[in-house]
Amino acid sequence: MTDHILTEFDNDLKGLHELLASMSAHVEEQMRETEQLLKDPHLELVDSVLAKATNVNRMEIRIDRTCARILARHHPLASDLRTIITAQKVIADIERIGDECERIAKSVNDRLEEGFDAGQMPDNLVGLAGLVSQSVRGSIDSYLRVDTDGARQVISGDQAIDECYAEILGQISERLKKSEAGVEAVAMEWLWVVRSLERIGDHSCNVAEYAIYLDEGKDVRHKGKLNPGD
Amino acid sequence: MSGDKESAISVRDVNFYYPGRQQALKSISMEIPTRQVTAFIGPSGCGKSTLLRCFNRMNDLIEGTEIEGEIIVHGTDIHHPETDVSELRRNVGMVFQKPNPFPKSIFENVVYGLRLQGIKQKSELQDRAERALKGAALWDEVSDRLHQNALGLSGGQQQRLVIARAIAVAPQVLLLDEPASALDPISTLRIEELINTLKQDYTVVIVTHNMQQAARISDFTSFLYLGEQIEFGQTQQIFTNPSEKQTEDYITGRYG
Repeated sequence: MTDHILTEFDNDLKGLHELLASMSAHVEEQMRETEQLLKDPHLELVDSVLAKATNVNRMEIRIDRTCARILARHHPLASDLRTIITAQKVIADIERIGDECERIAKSVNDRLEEGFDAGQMPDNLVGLAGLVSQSVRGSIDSYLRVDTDGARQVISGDQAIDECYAEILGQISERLKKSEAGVEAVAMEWLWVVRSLERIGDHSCNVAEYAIYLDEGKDVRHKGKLNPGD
Repeated sequence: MSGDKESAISVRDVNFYYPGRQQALKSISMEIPTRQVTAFIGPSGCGKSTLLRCFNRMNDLIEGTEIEGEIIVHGTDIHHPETDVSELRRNVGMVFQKPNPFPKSIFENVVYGLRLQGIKQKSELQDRAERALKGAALWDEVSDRLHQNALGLSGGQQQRLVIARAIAVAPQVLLLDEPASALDPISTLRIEELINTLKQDYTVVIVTHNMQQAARISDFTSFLYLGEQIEFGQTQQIFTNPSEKQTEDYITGRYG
């Protein structure tokens, strides 16, 4: 896109983009480590996921401040306005992706402390984590590159995540029905992990939807079915 | 383009030429909805003020200008030979960038058009002056000094006085040519607030260089460039997601 007449406006937007890229890279890495943690759980990886949370939170605040400054200084309109609106929404979603990774890491940590038993893990949990991780990478990439084709692929890929999630919930439900001693508590713990992964998938879809709004100005949330009534 | 709102002004394929066949407007067509605020935006020289002045035939005052096409104001073809231009200008009031009160009292400024219409009865003049000043959100500030000279008012007050003078003759349309560009920010906000109130009774068409002002106060926006209309649409759409790249570049400050 053509540069603004006011160079400072371009500089501020470039600064915002760099912060978004940096925060996103942290969360992508958290997600990748979380996926790895479910494949090969160990304490160092738990610590690494948890340690990133502070940085992510700090960056969220910086980005919010940057957006407020751009709004106050430049009164952005059209695509510039959509850049600011979506930046503020996207950071809320990616910060929550980070929170869910943190939750999963804490849960794995608890399992490690109790003596990790891979046999109690639901089947295909690693598969679900892989799908979710791919979705996070895809959505963040589509937003930062303003790639609406990529964003639409992420949104359509959410169905596979939902199906995998439903299948794992079925397994957990079966285990709970058996009510064997000690199985119930562990199954519940894994249930929270599975739910966190599914939520990450939803946040990732939100990011992809904002990528479409950023580029096309179309609000595709809730499959574009809701009439906001204005 | 203006949805289901009834049109106050229909502009159909209008071309306008300054002396020497210098074309200032090229094939402009638009429907300006009734009792809404429509803003004309665009860089200097794009034709927005020229188009505004077409609506009450102010351009007729410049010798050698020519116009083609059709402009219908509330059902009247304004170029029809039987159209009374004075009546048109009473019906389509105009306010300019620089407040231009007459060097008379506040009261005499407001009732000036009424006196021209032959209204002499003092009580009617007083009633209508009060109504116009209230309509222009100036009454509370001047009600105790109506017979003082209008030139003693501040710039913002003078501009509202001029608006009161325009609405005193009960027009249907108000044309505002950069009405707040010579005012301080607070006076500007008062004018903007007033415009928001005026649209309950009048169709308002405003030319502005201030993009934020157009975004704040208008319902519809037309973007003009080099005498052509590039885009006309609901203001919310134009300022969040314009259809044309030229509009996008202009309103985001990328226009070079």
